[in-house]
Amino acid sequence: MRVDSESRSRYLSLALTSRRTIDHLRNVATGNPVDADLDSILNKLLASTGREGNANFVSHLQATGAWTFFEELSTVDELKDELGFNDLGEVVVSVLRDASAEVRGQQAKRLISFLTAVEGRALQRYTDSMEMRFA
Amino acid sequence: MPVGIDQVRHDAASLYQFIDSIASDCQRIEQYPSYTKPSKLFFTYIHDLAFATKAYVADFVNSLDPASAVADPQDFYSRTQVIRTLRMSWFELHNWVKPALDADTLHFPFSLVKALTARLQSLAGFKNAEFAVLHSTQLNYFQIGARQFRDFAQEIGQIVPSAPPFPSNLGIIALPYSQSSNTFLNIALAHEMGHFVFQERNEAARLTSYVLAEIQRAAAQPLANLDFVWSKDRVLQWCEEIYCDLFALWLIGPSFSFAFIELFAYSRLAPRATQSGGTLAPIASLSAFYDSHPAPAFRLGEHVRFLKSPDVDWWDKIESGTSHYLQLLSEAEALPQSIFGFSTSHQQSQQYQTDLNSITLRAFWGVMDRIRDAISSTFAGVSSESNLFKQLREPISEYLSYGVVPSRIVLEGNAITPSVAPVVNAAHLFYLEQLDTLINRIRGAQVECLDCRALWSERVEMWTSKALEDITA
Repeated sequence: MRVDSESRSRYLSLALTSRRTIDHLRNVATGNPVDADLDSILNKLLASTGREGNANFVSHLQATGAWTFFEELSTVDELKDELGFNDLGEVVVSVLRDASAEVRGQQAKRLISFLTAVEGRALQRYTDSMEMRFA
Repeated sequence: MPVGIDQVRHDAASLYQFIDSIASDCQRIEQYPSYTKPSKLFFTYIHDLAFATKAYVADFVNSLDPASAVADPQDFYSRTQVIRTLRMSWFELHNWVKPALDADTLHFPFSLVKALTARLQSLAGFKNAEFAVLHSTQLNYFQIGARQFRDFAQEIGQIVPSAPPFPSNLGIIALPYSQSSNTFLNIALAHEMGHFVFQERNEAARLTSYVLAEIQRAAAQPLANLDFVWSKDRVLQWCEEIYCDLFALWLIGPSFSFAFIELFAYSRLAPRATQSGGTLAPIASLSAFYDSHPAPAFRLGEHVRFLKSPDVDWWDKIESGTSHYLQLLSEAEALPQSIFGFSTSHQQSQQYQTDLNSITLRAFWGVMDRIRDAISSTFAGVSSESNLFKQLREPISEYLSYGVVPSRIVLEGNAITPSVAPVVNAAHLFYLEQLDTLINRIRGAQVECLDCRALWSERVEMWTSKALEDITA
């Protein structure tokens, strides 16, 4: 795998974005509502899954923010397959829109678990690229 | 053995120590006179970020419930992974701090950076722009990636709540540590400044909708999401690189193209044989696009097309020169678009009627006009100074041929101070085409002697640097 400096920094960026999302989700997991920042991040994550349709996906890419780069989307895709987390889109929708705080809390915990794996994989990719640089 | 609070405390303390080892010099250096104000701003930022990160880590460890390590080890692991994320973040910062410490004013082309910055400050919205300079061990200016630092700094702030904001108007540029005194090669820094402007003007956001539309047009069928995103990232990266090349050309003129050619010795390529038994110009051998950069031959051809444009109007003022660099540029411009190709290790998700590499390249061709539009908008109302160059080239060359610093030029009885682009380009062309005139005036020096040529080339660069210092004083 060839990783240039741009790609390497995007993996680190993905780890930081995942961590930021996890920090917000912990509030939801303990029964609090979704705040504006988390709402924005999760809607972007949702759009990036393609669940909301092709037009929405293309529109999302125009935003050029989090969850719009190949390194981000391919890592999420890879872990969805590895972990059998095929209902990622449904889980995000549930955290965002479910009326029950209990259900939102449970789904937030699932999402935390998934994003912890994404953060870890992103750090691994970043570290791999540093080791390749030293080799 | 399960991981508990003691192990986390150990890892946190290790991170503490790691951060201190990186940031301690930044605090000490603030008092040193041999760093520019932008560099000191950078050091202050690192120091304050270190303080904020350590405070965050201390609060985080103190807030951990030791019992949770046993009660819910998965959650405990999830929470404490942040220590690794922060460590890797400081790992990345470490890559920038030492290079910044190495680049004091004695070890970077201060007058050139000041002159380029002064030109850049004439752009709308960039009056207060400044640049911290770093030293890199990489010789390739175009791969150093200093522009990513600003984004990264903002992202750390998202998980360390009290992190300081990265100083507004502060750009970061990096040059190879060994090239601090090489004025002409360091013209490549103008390209790096372009990345700062590209980011600040949010050009990626403006270009993205065109890029996406061009990919859809080129594909003529729906692409898998990951392929679509991959293609978008490639085209946008190429767009940014071309934007930065054109930026450098408008900012400082064709001297940027000469630096680009010299850095990679593109003037020493062999002709490329074709299947029909003929040969293409040597520059045709550089027709492959990379994941992150357009083909060098395409870039050089685009340089000429842009230098010919009425926006900057440089080409007709230099094309009759004798330098082999000019011939190479003309040959690059003449290359047909069909010779350019792109291959990558990316495995496309599906089979398409046209393969993804071709789709990506075609989309890039489709968006080229938008890049030129973006550059015209960036430099609205700012002269390329090509007409001043035409007026001043001859006297500047004459001054240099007598070893006189061209800070003040007497033209038709009037003493004038030349501006930055005319001095840089006239001096660069003097170095390329007329060095013999100078050497022939030096007793004991010979034009065939490489030591002599290197010595007097260096002198020309020093005089040019001194002129820039005087002009921008």
